[in-house]
Amino acid sequence: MFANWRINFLLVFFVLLGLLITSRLFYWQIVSSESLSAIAASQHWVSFEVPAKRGEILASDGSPLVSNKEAFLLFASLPQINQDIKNISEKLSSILEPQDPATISGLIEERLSREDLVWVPLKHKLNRSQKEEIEVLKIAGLGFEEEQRRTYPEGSSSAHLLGFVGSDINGKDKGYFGLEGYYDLELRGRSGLLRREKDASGKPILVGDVYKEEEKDGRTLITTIDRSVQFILNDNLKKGLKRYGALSGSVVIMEPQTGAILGMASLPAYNPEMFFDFNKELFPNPIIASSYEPGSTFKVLIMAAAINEGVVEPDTKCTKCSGPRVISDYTIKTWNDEYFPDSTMLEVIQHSDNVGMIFTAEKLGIDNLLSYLKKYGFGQKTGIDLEDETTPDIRQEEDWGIVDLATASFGQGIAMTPLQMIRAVNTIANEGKLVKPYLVSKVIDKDEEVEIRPDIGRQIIKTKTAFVLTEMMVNAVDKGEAQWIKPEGYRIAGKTGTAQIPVAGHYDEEKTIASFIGFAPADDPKFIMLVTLREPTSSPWGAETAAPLWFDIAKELFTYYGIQPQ
Amino acid sequence: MTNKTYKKPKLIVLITCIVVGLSLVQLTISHKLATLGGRMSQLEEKQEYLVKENKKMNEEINQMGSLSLVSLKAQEMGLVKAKKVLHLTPQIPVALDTLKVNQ
Repeated sequence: MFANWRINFLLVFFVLLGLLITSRLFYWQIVSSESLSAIAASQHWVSFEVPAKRGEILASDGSPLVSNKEAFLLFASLPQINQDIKNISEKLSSILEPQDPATISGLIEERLSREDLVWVPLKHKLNRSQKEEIEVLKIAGLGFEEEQRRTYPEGSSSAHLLGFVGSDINGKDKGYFGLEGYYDLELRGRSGLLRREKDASGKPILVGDVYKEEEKDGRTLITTIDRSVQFILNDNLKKGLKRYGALSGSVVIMEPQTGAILGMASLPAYNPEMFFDFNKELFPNPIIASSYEPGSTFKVLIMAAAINEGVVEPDTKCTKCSGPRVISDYTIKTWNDEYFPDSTMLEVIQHSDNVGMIFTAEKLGIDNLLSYLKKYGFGQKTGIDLEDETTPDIRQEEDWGIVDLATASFGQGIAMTPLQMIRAVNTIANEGKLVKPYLVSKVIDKDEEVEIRPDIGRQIIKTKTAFVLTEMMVNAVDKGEAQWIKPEGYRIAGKTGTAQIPVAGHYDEEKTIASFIGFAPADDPKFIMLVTLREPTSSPWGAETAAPLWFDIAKELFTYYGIQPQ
Repeated sequence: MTNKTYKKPKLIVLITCIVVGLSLVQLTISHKLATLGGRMSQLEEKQEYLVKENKKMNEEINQMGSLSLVSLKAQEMGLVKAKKVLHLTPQIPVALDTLKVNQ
């Protein structure tokens, strides 16, 4: 009996013990398996992200327009923080934002006080000296992670063209505006992951397992930008703005045969490395995102259309040029109130004669005018590889009246971007063909090199018309208002423009946009360039502001390209 | 029958020797490799350092090669832009000038 009791007791004991062990095993292997596996993995596996390098943006000669430099992320491991948070915040703020520590101290305090987190990022993109200053403070719980920041060796000279790199909603780098924005996916690459076994001291076990997901660096862009051209135009634009007291200004230079942009700059600009310190209104590129009324530079396009349609010839005489024209209750005068009865079309362009252009536009007609506006690419984006391109709309056909035809003939009442304008006038320089402007000629990564071929474009006007217009533009430079400043010995095809600025339904009498568009050498153009100056104060006229600036830049380009006078 | 009894122990001994030998080799290699983890860490640190130095030098080259800086340095050194450019008329080399060759 006693023996039976002992056996039964042992039986029950072992059954219970078995149940206990089973339930414990069930808990470890089924219920908590995931968390325990994770703890085990963290003890003998180490994994880290291998960041991808953002691609560089290079000039046509391979020198960097945008590159990368080392930067650091400052983070805090909250359980290890053992000093007063306010004190830490004060110390860090004076290093991170020496100009205005108050802007960041609140944020640091708030992050260091979080109780729901163990790791918080405090500030991205610190430079090495900031890192070293913080390390000297020896604050427990603070650490650094390496990252990259963009660097722009030429400073702000190409800011509008390049754009900048900021952060997306997840705090990851993202390109905005310009090339950085347009080619963000190509430039950013993909981070990799390295996971391998470690020993108790954290050193890698060579015979252990290693899993590696290769990082893919961002692609490098080779642009068509000639950095010498870019430097020349930027330098001259700065001087020009000062000399002519203009509010802002832009210059764009393009290769006529391909549409390759050789240089592009607008002022005022911003420093893309410190973009957060500038007004957001400065970010869009005025050459592709701002519209303007081109004024007299537009006359060459209307004249080209009229000659191409055969409704006028260069020696056709204007029979309505003896005085101002009254159209739909509007009196339209010439820019200087001088009139040239019976002037030829050649002279109409030479004198920049508004009433002569009305005569031409009337011969052309509204239908033809609208057809050519579309052919020249107005009302459509040029397709340039920059993020922020916009296009002003062209009025619907039914909204065009006779007065609109008249004003459009001398470039008022119609808006476009400077890039649309240079592209359209380039049809004259490029034997009648409309090119697509572009900036990136090659995209390079580790495995391949993709060449981007220029779009040679479609024929808009006849080759003969282009040659005739070239001669008319050469004549306008040689005998027009800007002849006094033209460099001697060169055949330059060009046209000045002075457009009034529309303000609340009427044109401002004082403020103008002065411009000059032209290409050189006229017979075998190496470049086409458009200069626009907004509200110049030294003189409102394009011939006295934008034209001299155009010629200043052209003179340097002649020397740079080795173009000899004829 | 007698032959079979002689062959079996030989084969077993051979296999045992191979297994033991290979195990010893693996043990030795593992032991050596395991201790090389520290060395690998050092090499990785050195590689990282060299990559960083290389990056820094690239940054410096980029900055020093910028045209804005070159222009500024040139001004500091007293260099000025040429105010007048003299263009030389290109001439045909004597050997290619048929008029001169025929004279």
